[in-house]
Amino acid sequence: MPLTIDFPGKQLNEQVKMVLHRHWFVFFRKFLMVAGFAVIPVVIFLLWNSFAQWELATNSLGYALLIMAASLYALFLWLILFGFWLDYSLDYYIVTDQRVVDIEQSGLFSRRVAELPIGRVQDITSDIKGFFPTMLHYGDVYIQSAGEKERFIFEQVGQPDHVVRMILQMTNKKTAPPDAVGAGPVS
Amino acid sequence: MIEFNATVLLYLFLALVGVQLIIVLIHLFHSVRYGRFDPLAMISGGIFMIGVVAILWFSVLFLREVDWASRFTLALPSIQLPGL
Repeated sequence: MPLTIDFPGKQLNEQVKMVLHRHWFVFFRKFLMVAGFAVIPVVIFLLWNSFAQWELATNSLGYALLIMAASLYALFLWLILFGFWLDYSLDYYIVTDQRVVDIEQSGLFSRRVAELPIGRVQDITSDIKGFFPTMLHYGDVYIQSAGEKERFIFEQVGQPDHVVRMILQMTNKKTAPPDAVGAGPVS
Repeated sequence: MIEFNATVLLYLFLALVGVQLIIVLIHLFHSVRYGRFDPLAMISGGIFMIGVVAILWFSVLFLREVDWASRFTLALPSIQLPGL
């Protein structure tokens, strides 16, 4: 069933089959890191305050510095978290009935959009490596195109074996002669 | 002992916040430009802005207590080098 999703450069008769982001756990790990950095100064401040009975007059230099440092630090962490979120949400892979599109955002000033016609897909492999990827079932999908050195990589997507099967099915439909369409995937 | 106007510290703070706000704008620009096909990107951009406003609002709330017309003094430890 085609997805009703729009993306830049979509053709009128093109049907989107899959839109893939990195697995949610990839973002969650970064979220935990930022949360840790947010909690550490609060814990240090509370411990210091409980041992040293520290009191700051509201009109002192220490008070002003503390509030300013806390504000800048909080804003910095919030920015970092949103940067991670943008990196996660603006990186996606689209599989349509005609092509495979890889949209990758790297940092603030680098964005790469690459596409590969589905008929030129030659070899496709999935790779699940490591403890968390195995437990949560996510990994990389490598797509090798005909006559090109560079491989397409869908990084850390959920259920990579299912993605491989879907793309293979579409490749077979595209490359098979018209009377053989619907004969099933070739293993 | 160093003595300086409290406003010096305030201006330094405002400059650093200004730099961060420029990065906020770049982030939002990215979110709107590339995420316009994705409602989730728009919602997350809104949440991000609410967070930025909340942080700045709390900063103003606490920093209002400071008398910015006064002067701060910073006591430095006296360093005595041997032989001098």
